[in-house]
Amino acid sequence: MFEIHTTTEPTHVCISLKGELNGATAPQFEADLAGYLSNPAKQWVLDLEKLVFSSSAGLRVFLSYAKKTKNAGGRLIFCAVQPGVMDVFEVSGFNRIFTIVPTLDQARKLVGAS
Amino acid sequence: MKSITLPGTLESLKPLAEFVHTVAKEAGFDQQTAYRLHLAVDEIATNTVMHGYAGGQTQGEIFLSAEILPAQLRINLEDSAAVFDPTQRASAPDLSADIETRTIGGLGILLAQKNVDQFLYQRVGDRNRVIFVLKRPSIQH
Repeated sequence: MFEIHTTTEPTHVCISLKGELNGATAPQFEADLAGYLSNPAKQWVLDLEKLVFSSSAGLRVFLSYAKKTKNAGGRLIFCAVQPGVMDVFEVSGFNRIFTIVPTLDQARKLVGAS
Repeated sequence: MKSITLPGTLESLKPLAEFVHTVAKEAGFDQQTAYRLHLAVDEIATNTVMHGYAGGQTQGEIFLSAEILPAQLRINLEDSAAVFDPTQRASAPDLSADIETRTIGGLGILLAQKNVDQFLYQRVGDRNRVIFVLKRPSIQH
């Protein structure tokens, strides 16, 4: 099971993920994310509080989006990454190249949300 | 010994996960460890489907079996795709690269290896067999 829930605010787009990202669920996620790339605020928050699992298929989508948002001159922030997913980020070295904050509140502060 | 045979498609990742979590629980692992094992098996099964069975275009199956031994849990994943030994796989991507230069992909086998205690390969007849071994938690009173 994998679901995304998105809210758009003047300052940013918040994309909340729920469930498990794997080779079967990652392609739709990638397609959905592509739709938010043109958002004029150029700030994206990926809320991973309810993401319990990500295989390398999910990592591939995260890295690809990080590159695209950077190329767009924007900012991508990950928040509330759960321990299992954080382990995967660490093994992959993603914890060093992504902006990751502990909570959604902190992410909202960073993007200047009211 | 428990076993399950699944079609060689990405849709099989869900029943694969259920199988792994069920046997991990039976073997006494906590949920966090079960997810690590799930990740390892998922990565290799995804590889089998994407590369061995051409993304599910080639007819094939994934054969999973689990043995709960006194000191370890062993999961065997077999496929009938071309010979491929993930334990001999060349190096992982440069993990210290920054966002611009970091290459996309190449992490699956690394994640599989890192999340189990032993990661073994055997060629058995016309099948590839990857064996995932986790040491069982010792029961202490």
